[in-house]
Order: sequence, then structure tokens, then C-alpha cells
Amino acid sequence: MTYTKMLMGSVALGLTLGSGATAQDDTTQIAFIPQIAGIPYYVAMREGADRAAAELGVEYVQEGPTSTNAADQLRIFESFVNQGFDVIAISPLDEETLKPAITRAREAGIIVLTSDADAPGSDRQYFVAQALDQDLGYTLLDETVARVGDSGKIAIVSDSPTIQSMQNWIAAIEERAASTYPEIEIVSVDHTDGTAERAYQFATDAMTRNPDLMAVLGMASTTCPGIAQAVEAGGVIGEVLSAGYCSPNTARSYIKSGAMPFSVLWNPADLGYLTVWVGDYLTNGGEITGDLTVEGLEAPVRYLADSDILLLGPPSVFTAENVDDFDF
Amino acid sequence: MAKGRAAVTSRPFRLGREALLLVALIVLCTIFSLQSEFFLTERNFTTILRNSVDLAVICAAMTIIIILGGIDVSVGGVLAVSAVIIGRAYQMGMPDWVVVPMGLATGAVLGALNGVIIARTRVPPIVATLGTMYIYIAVLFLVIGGVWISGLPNTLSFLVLGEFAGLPAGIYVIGVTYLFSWLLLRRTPWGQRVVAIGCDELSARLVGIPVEKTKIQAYALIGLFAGVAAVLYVARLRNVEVNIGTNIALEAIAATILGGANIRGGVGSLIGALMGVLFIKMTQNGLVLIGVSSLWETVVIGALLIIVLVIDALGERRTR
Repeated sequence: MTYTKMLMGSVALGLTLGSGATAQDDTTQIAFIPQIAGIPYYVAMREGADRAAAELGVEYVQEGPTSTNAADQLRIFESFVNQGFDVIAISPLDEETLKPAITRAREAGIIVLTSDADAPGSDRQYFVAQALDQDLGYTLLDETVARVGDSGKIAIVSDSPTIQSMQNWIAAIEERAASTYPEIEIVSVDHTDGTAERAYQFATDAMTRNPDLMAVLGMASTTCPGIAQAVEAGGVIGEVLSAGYCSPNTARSYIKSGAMPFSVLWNPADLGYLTVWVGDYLTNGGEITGDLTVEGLEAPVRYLADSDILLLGPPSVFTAENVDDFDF
Repeated sequence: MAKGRAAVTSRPFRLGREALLLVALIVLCTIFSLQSEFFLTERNFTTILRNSVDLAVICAAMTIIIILGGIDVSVGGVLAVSAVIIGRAYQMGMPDWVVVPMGLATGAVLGALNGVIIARTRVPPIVATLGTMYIYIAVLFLVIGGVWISGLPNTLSFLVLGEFAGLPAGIYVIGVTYLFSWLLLRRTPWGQRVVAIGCDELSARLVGIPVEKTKIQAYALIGLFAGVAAVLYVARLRNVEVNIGTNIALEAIAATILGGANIRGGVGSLIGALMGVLFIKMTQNGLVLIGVSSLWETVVIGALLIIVLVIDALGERRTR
């Protein structure tokens, strides 16, 4: 008991000392909370962010939950608030969980951005967006249609249904199918627990249920190896196409085997760079009134005033021709 | 009298529970095949089997652990660490005959570590393995360091995806695992010691059974089987992801309990556990085929678990 108290006491002391030390220097502190720690996508985002932090002379910290758990994400968000960070950017897993905390952080004078995914109903100041959900949905379906034709059945495999961005992509795909490709039928939308095994199971079961299935689309990088493996193991390369929003490293071997001919995504390093740049710009009193030119990024950053979105650019399509140019 | 009781509890096939599960499986199959023409096909059953292999292997050892009066919630973590070792070894270009023993040894060592903690400190197994689970998962994160291991060789894929003498290879893997476990549990003095400890640990100690040693060996066994499952997982999916093994411990415990194992120890059935695995995997597969949202699968499994346990409790009250 006393041992525990001692332990807690020393932890508390450590925390006070730690925050005291950081409060003394004036370096701007920017934090980013991804949806999950340890996946290549967010590691690439960190690389871009670190590059921006070094160039701008700010401190950058990235920490995310070990599983896609909204409560854990909230806990991390609040710990950054308590540590007195100047800017907190987050890729929200669940808007409702975060809303009150975002409001409280804003009241405490912290600049709160969403990045990578949005919480449009919250008090966040800007959403630093990689690409519009609608563009991403349209691009994935258009590229699929370009390869396998505009009539047939498509199955979708996604990660947790609480991840808003993925729900938006699914909605965009469905909307595009309904408006432009009336012969395309989306036969199922299944949600995994983040393991490749479940994605594999869902893709295989979708192919069993629909022997004439044309394509399986994966919404998350966590689903890509599973759906591509299902195509390989089923021996249907060339008959069933798999594709999705997958990082080049995750998809590379399947892009080369033909099981996943292409993948749609953006460059997360650029997104990380832009997130830190915007955080630093706002901390220094900058105001955003129109499109921005950011040193270190090729394309100009579009500003969508009615929804306070800063847009990185159009989505990229990775294929066998260009996949080796990317490492994330 | 004591002998008679031991004979009853160590009966390899507890007919009551297996019959109940068989009925549940038949009902489930009937519902699914009425709703989907694709369910009752050779191809689909091969799919279900392929998806069951790693869980089935873990469940064989989980049955032994639960009969021993223990539990292991860290199997997912052990599987994850073994899979990372296997993945890293493959990336260094090591051949199968080096990689596989490394994966199995990793599992056995981590399992034995659980056993040592449980046997020597007498910490309740659920707490001890909860603690090690967190550590094993942290090891996974630290080793992987954000980079998925993917594109691993497929030289062992035949173990899950292949076919021998007209039957899917997974059947042989499951068959060998269960035959081995059954012989170990029912035909060796070691197995009798496991049952004795599970029935009454104090008495087992008093008659001179090496309780600590047996426990450590049993946890090493489940670690070894988690290592086997890791080999099969990597063989099938050829990548190691951050979330590997997330749900496998809970699924294994659910399947084992469904199969007739008593969580208080002493009683359990390998055949029942295997049927529990099939029930879980068939539910996951069938719901997708009939177009029901996958979110319902845990509801079905949870409901059956409660039904089975209630029937058990009522039966126990009647015989008393």
C-alpha cells in the first residue's frame, strides 16, 4: 500500500517536473493522435511531420492507441491537453467521444485540428484533409470500372463501423455507383476487427456467396493483405479484382502478383508535413482566408471556406508502374 | 468411490454435451443452407475449415489448461510474438526448417514463463496471463516498430491451403493435433495428473503429484500450440500485422467452454472443443453468406454460450 503510494508520488513528481521543464522554453509543441499506433501509414505521416518540425523549429509528438479504441484515443487526447500542448491534431475514431474534450481544449486556448479524418460536428478549427472523401470514393470506383467494366457485383470490406472517414468513402462509392454506373451492384459491406484474418474471411465468404463477384474493395490498410490473400488463395487472380485504400508497402507484393492491380491513397508524409505547418502557422497568429502556398509541398493547398477544410490535393493511384517510388 | 468419479470425469467423450452441440451445429447448418445455396458446398466447408485451423489448434491445448483448473488469456500475445519471430526470421532469409522450430520454441518458452509465474507465485492464472498478455503485445509493437511484416514466403501454405488424398490439408493438421492431445490427456500418467489437479489440487498435492511441474509443462504446451498456430497463421496469410491474435484467446475460451469444459477445472472434452470451434467459425461464415450483418455474429455465439451453460446448470441441479 505504502509502496503503491510512493510509486504514485514519484510518478506525480516526475510529471510535475516534466511539465515544468517544457513550460519554461517557448518552443511550440504540436501533438498528433493517429487512429492506431504502429502502422506504416502513420509512421510515414510522422516522417513528414518530423521534417516540417525540424524546418520550422517546433516540437512534434505523435502517439496513438494500440487498437482502434475511441476511449483510449480520448485518454491520449486529454493527456496532451493536460501537458499544455499548443496544438493538438487528431484523426478521430469517433466524433461523439471526442466532442466535449475538443470543446474543453479550445476553451483552454489550445489549437485543435483534425487531420487525416474529420469530426465535422465538433469545435475543431480546421480539418487538414488528404483528399476529399468524395474524390477518394469516386477514384476507387472509377479505377475499378476502368479495369473490369461497369457492370457486376462488388463487395466492400471495411474496418470498424465507427471510423467516420471509411463510412464516408463507402457512401461516396455507393453514390457514384447509383449515379454513374447503374449496372454495378454493391452486394455487401462487412466490418473487421482490424485483423488480416477477418478481412480474408469476409472476402472469401463474399466470393462464395457471389460466384460472379467482380471485385472486393478494402477500405482500410488493415484489410488489404487479407482481401488480396483471399484472391490469391482462391486462385481467382484476373477473375476477381481486389483494390482499396492501401499503403504501397502493404499492397506492393499483391500489386506485383496481380491480385490487387492498384491502390488509391495520398502521400501521408505530405499530410503530416501540412498538419505541422498549419499548426505552426496558426500558433504564430496566421490567418487562413484562401488557398495557401506551402514551402515543401508541390501542389498548392486548397481552402474550402464553408467547411473549414484545408485540402492537400487529388488522390494518388499506385500501380505496378509507380509503386516502387513510394516507401510507406 | 474416488476412482469411480475420476473415471466419469476423464471420459473422453461427454455424450450429453457433444450431442447438444451436434444438434446446435445441425440446426445452424440447416438455417444457413436454407437461406444460401452456397453454404452446404464442398468449397465453402473447405473455406470454413481453413479458417478454423489456428483456433482449433489453440483450443486443444486450452481444453487441457481448463481441465487443469487454469486459464490462459495470453495465447493471442504468445501467438503474436511467435509470429513476429517467424516473420523476422523469414525476412533474414532463413529456411523453413530453422524458422518453424524458432516459432515453436518461442511459443513454448513464453508459455512456460506463464506456467512458472502461476505455479511458483500462486497468482491466479487469469491475472498472471492477463499481465503477460499485455507484455507480449507490447513486445509485438516494440519489435514491429510500425512496419508490418508482409510478403512472406508461401512455402508452408500447403499446411492450410493444400490438399492430401482428396481432403483439405487442414483436416490432417487438426487430426494430428487432437490425436496427440487426446493421447496425452487420456493415455498417459501426465494426463491423469492434469485431471487430478483440476479435480482437487490439494488432494493431488497430498498424494505426491508434482503439481508445480505439471502446471509449468501444461502452460508450456499451450504456448507451443500457440506457436503452431502462429506458423499456420503466417503460412496462410503471409503477413504479420499489428492486431494479430486480438480475439483468439476469447474465441478459444468460448469454444472450449461451449465444448463442455468446466471453468472450475477437472472436466473437459477435446471433441466438444473442436465442435465449439466449428460452431464459431460456421456462424462467422454463414451470417455473411445469408447477408446478415457481421455485427450479429457475437450475439449468436454469446447466446449459445449462455443457453449451453444454463442447460448445464439445470442438469447439475437435477442430478444433485
